[in-house]
Amino acid sequence: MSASDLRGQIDLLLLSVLVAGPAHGYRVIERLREQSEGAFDLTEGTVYPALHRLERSGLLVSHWSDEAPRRRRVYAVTQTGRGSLATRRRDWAAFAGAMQAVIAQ
Amino acid sequence: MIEHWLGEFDRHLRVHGRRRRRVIEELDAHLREGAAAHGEREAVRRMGDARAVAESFTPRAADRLFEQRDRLAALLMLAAMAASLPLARTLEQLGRPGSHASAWFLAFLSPTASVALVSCLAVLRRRPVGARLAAPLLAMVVVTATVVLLDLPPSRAEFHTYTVAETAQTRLQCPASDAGCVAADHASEIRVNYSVGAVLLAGFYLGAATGWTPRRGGRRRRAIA
Repeated sequence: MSASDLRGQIDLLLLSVLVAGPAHGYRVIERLREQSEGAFDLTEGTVYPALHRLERSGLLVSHWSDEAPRRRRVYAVTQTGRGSLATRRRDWAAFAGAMQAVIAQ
Repeated sequence: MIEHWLGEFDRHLRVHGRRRRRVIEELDAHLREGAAAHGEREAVRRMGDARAVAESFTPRAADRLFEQRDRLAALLMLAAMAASLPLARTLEQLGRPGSHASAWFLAFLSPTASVALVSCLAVLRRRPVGARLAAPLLAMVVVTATVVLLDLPPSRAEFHTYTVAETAQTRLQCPASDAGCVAADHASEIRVNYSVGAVLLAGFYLGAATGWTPRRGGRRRRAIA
């Protein structure tokens, strides 16, 4: 599934992946791929701008981690981000329920 | 290949200062990690077109405003508090010599003002405590506004002092007018405007600081039901 198919849902996906624990960009992409069983194979060029946007919004924080083998920027969900994730999950559940109600007929 | 991609990215990136250095450093580290695992060509392919990625790092003006809404709300709150200082000064000056009404009233307001100040400064620095204090702040503002609106102590004594002082002043300037009524109306306006304004502002601040957005699914769900 491409980034354009996921337009509007990337923030929800990234917050959901990161709420499980802090991770750097590379690991975030891996987690997305693993948890979706390969369906969400987003490119780095999509994920990094989204991570930066979420950080500017105060939903994520980040710091440099100097653990071997190389320096990485690690992202974590803030308290505000957890609140936003809860709201987005509710909205998504409502949207998915409505879609299902229509297409299942 | 990585150097070429980063050079192209650098040329089109419209982000400046510390953030620019950070973005480039982060993508450089990521590309080298990807190259170590899958080779340079695949790492660069996965990153996508350098120009498109650089452009996606540039936020639109409307997005920038929305992303900074918590800080804007904090600045608005601080500005409203600063704008209230002249009124506090006027109330203090109108107080009768020996009367402690103003001091009691200001002491009554100070816990709410302190929490607002701490919360706003924390939000401006993006500290989580700022958002956590927003709900207690709204509760404190509602209590304070209720006391002022219902003319309960210590607000009552303060506004009584204000009404008496303004009545005397109005009688001097305009002897024919009903000075008592004018002063009482004026005091009432101040109480209502400041109380309702403070509650609305604290509610807006709570929404902005906690990232709350109106739920859009309600109408749709009702329609389905």
